Amino acid sequence: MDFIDYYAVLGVDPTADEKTIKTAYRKLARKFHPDVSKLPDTENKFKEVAQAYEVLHDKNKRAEYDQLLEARKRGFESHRNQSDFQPGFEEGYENPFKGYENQFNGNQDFADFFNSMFGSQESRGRKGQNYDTRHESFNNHKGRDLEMELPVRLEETVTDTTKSIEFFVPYYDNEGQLQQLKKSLNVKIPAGITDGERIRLKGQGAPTRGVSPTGSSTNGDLFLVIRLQQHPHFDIEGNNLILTLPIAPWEAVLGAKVQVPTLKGKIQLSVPSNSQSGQRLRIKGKGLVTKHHAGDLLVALKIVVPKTTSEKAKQLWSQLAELESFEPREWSN
Amino acid sequence: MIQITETQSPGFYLSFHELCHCTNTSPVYMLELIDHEIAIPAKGTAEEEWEFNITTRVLVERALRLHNDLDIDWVDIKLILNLLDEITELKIENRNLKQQLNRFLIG
Repeated sequence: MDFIDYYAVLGVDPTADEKTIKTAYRKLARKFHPDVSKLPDTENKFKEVAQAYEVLHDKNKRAEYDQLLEARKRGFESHRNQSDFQPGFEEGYENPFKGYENQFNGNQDFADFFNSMFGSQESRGRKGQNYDTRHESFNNHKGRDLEMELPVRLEETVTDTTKSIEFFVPYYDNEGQLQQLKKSLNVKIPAGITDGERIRLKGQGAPTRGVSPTGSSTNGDLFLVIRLQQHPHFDIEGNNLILTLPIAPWEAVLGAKVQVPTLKGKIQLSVPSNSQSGQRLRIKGKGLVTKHHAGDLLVALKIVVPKTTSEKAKQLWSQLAELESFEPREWSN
Repeated sequence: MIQITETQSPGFYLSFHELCHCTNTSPVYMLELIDHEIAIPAKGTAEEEWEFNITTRVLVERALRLHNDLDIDWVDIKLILNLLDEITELKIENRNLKQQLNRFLIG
């Protein structure tokens, strides 16, 4: 990680006052906030902006940072005259790295060094969340919640089903090393589950630090986000399913009985005579099953013409064209 | 790595305190969000009876991010959340319509 110039991140001069820094932060934060921005790499950019503001809007932290910046500049100036990088300090200049010599050398990353001085953002807690001290301890005894997406086929929403999932739970072992526990679960998925719906598996999240992840009552939870998979035949419109049904021109004109798939197997459909391309036929109760009722299956007719036609068929089509006084284009005279 | 296999039935609701825990929010702060109708109980009439839909957790986390990171007040956050939901629904509808259209198009 390279050194980060927080003034440059916010686009302000190092001599900028607090108001200028706040205005610059607000403008960039609203531009890059992940909840409202669709720009690429928005999350990292936002973190950079937030970190810059965290330092520069605090008088004490800004003073420490400015000292670092100054020392770095002096170090680079002296480096031009030395074969090895050493922070250059003039006589009487207080060494800002006093006490950190073992951590900082010419090759050390400034951002890492900065985090070691000020700590990470996560550990400081969130602004505005004024913890009631009577409740301070309630968050300290449970592990982190996990979240993952669970793909579900449309057919699996019709009845209660059980799906097998595998995932990894992070935990710290007795030596304080981060490990991964592979877990396999059979999850009961109720009928009528919808896309984006979340379900909670209690105790299947990460354990609190220092606690074994197996059989722990202090584990966080696992949240599954249901994602309905794209189906080869069906599209979704609310609770209804849409089936695009190819039919031949003569089937559209004369009518036909055709087999169509549903989520529970095939059924017979009567195509009325003189049907149009794009016309939708409704089959009640054959759509998506929800907790309250079943949607409908809407069959959208798509008239398709053969890719090759025999000479005899072409003759018959020509006769039909002469016979029928049908004009499909409304703008023709 | 250890493999464990078990069967579990899912839950669909969170109690008031469970919602506070999983969003890392104090109860006092959560009551503020409920006052502003950002978190709305799906069941129950009193705090000890409240049950929240699992999706409320995502809403609360989003609201907290907007409030803490962008310094937006709760009334505006409620409006923003509604607009963001509308955008999400429109995107889903757009995606579904494009999928339907593509079944008719050739080339």
